Amino acid sequence: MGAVLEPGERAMTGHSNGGAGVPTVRVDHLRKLYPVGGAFLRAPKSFIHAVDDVSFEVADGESLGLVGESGCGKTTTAKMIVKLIEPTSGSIQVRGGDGEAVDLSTLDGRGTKRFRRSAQMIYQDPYESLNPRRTVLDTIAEPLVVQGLGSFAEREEHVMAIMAQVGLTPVRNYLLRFPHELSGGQRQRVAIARALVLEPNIVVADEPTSMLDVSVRSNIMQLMLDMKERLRATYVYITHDVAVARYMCDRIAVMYLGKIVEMGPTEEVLRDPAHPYTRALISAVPVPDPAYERPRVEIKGGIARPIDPPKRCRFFDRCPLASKACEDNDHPPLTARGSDRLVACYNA
Amino acid sequence: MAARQLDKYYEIRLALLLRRLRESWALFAESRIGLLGVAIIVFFALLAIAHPILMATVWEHEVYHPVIGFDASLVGHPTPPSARHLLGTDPLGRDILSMLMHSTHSEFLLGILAAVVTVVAATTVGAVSAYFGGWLDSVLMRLADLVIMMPALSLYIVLAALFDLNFTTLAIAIGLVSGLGATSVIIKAQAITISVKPYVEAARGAGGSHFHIIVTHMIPNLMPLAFLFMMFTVTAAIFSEAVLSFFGVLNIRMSWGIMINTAQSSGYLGFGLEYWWLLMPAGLSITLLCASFYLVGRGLDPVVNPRLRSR
Amino acid sequence: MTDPVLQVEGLSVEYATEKGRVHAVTDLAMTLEEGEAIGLVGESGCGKTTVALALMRILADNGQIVNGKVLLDGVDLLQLSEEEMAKRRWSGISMVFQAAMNSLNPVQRVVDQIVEAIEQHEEVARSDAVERARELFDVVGLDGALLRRYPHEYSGGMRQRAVIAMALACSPRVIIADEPTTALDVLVQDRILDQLKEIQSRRRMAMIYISHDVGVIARVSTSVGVMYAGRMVETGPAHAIFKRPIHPYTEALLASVPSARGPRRPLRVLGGDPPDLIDLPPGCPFAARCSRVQERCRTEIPPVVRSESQWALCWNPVNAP
Repeated sequence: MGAVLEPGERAMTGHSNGGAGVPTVRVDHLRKLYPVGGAFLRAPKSFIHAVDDVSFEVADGESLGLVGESGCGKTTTAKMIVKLIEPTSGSIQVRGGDGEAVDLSTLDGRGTKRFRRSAQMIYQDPYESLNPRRTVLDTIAEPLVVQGLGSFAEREEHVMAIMAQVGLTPVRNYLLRFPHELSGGQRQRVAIARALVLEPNIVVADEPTSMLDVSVRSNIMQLMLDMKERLRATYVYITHDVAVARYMCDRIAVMYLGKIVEMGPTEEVLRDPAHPYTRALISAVPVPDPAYERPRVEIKGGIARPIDPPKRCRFFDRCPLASKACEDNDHPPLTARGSDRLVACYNA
Repeated sequence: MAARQLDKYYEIRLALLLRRLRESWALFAESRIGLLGVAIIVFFALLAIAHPILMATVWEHEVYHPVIGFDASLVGHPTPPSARHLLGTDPLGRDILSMLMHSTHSEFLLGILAAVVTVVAATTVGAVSAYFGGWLDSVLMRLADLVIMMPALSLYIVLAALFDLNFTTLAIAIGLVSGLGATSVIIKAQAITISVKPYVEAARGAGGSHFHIIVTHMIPNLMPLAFLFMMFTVTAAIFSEAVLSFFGVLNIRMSWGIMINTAQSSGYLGFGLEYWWLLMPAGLSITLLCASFYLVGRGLDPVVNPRLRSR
Repeated sequence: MTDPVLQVEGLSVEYATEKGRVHAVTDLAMTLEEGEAIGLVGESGCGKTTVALALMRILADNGQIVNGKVLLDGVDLLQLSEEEMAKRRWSGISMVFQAAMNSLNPVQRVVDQIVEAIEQHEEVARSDAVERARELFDVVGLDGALLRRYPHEYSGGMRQRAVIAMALACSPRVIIADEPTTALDVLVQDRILDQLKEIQSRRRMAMIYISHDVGVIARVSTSVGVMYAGRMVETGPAHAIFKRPIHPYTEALLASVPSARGPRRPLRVLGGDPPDLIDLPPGCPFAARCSRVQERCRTEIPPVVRSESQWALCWNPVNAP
């Protein structure tokens, strides 16, 4: 009992920025601001900078991890990629299943609906992401129904096929069950099946294992890698757990207060983090080995709410390397460090 | 092959539905007040069913007709209960029991029609308000405030003066007033909790239209709560009709309220308990039927709201 | 060698539900020395929270301790009357609950809540109690000025620390922490874990730390107890359990947890589901999912297999002692 999951073995090799692959997802200067205050005829005075000038590319078949603590903007960014949230400014270009590149802001209602066939999302909470009054069949078939694909019988067959692929077997047993009759892991399999039933080539996963029991997580992680290979999909994987990112993502982008502070191949970033925040984050993650001596990285304070951040490095007030340059200039841009790494720091 | 699987699928769906109903009934039956309410409703339903049977068999038309009957064999109507008239006769010589039983089915229909209108109105307003938000939400909620502020009975009297209110139009009026008021606010609150659920966002992510989401996800999850309020609307409808009929402002031939109205306008209500059969049967029926629906509503609470269950 | 602070023997807890009796905890044994921190780890439903509630004797109405002894400094807590137990709660044994944010009264200032807890167990002047609250806040790293605030004015991490301070208020001998950092961000969790370890070692307090997060358990515990389907299937010193687990479940669990550091190794996938606690199978509860299962595992409860201070319940252990 117990298949074996090789880290990164099934993930397709991706290329970082400047690689040969044509990007499937390209994000440029993406911003999302939420107004604070303001009433009917009064303009709001403050804004929450949920996502603040974020740019990256994800190559075809690659898995990019968006890593950070709560409030860093990773979920907002990911939802903009699947057009569930509209950006305030910036552009997102996506290469859908047909290979054509499309700018998300140019899509009208019909175009958006077509786009949805190429990009789907898997949610974090297996208890809230399924309608408690609908059966497994209803839930997984819904995207097909909404997109007007197939007859009733064809849809049912397709759903049963995908249920077998995600491990909900024997299929007949699960087809007409309700969510409350399933375990957390089974519910998440349903959520995965629903996301993949349209055979999207872009999948955004929002911490799909963080609310699952520890012993179930590796099952779901392996399932997601299997499905990725089968669909030849490109993943954007959101997580706060760098250990999970290590197994699921080729590259990671570490986010803080709406900005990317470091980006590079997962293994390298974990082994040799350049940005002080990344270093603190990695050293703080508990390691399942009592003999492990962790390097202590002191950073003070807590995460501020990103309301009207002052024009300086976002990490200035907590950074052990903070210098005058960090305070006087705006947030440092992402600069290349070696062939494969981008770091936003004046002093690293 | 696919067709065979389909047949089985519908069978299983039906079996699932029946099982759900059975479980809900079991939960409902745990509360004795709910069962009491059902018992009373069944009693009145039997009354309603029995009336046409009696009219066709035992009761003579000229004497026992609830509206135009007259018992010439007795002198000095209203007469107290006797072997011939189990609940006596009213000032116009009509058999009280017959009037009572005849009115029952109208009361039921009134109540249920009003309730259905309430549910449709409240669910639509609540779902649309919660889902779309913005100015639509503001407008609808201000409308609800307006409706809540107005004293309902006065509104009905004004409507009765302007229009000719019979059972049907009264039911619709009551349904709208009830549904667009407090009920829609409560349903909207529930609808908001649904609209922020990830499964609604997932439906949108799959390409679902607004209509699809409201009809497929929001309304089915709102139905249990709406059904609960339906019960309370029936109570309000029956009671309102009784009061309005008592004032004589409705275009209705016969109802429990009319019975009391007849007694009052003939001058028999000021005598204490001397002419009790003119007041008690009708009054008691109104009270009991109203109470019964309310009790059923209370019994439905744990079915609708899983957190109130005892286990 | 001093006597252990806490000694649990043969603890069994059942819940009465309409579907039958749930055997939440079966025949559990545990020993805690002064200054020891045992990490109770296992998947959800394994009974670890039930054990905590049973030790505090705050089980739900339908919960019943059907058997066992819980000796706190030699006194059997299960034999005490409710009055006597109430005296020992908070001053002898206290608990930091899961979702501790919710165990703070939102309409009462935090200082009043702490003072109330102290006054219920000791005869102290209010000013002394307030002074102690200030000291406790110092210990958990909170600014004393926060005392007069209300819980909603605290951030998640601060609330957690406030609750820990409250649990320490009467200097208990044993503190139980039930997933205290689950809802917190990584950096906040890190600091609170450090603080907890420091408090525990400085005060020579015994601690039971409950979590499903294997990494946190490794950080915080000196010894580990692995639970499965209501039984303690393995227990021993932390470094021994992690380096040489005896029980197949422990081994599978450790192998299925990803780690951010150290060499990249393949992750084990653990199939199947835990058994139904109402209808427990005879024999070892892990038999259905065990890769080393033998015939007798399915029918007979396994014996205790021991290696120095580490022991496990297994017929076919992984690293046989």
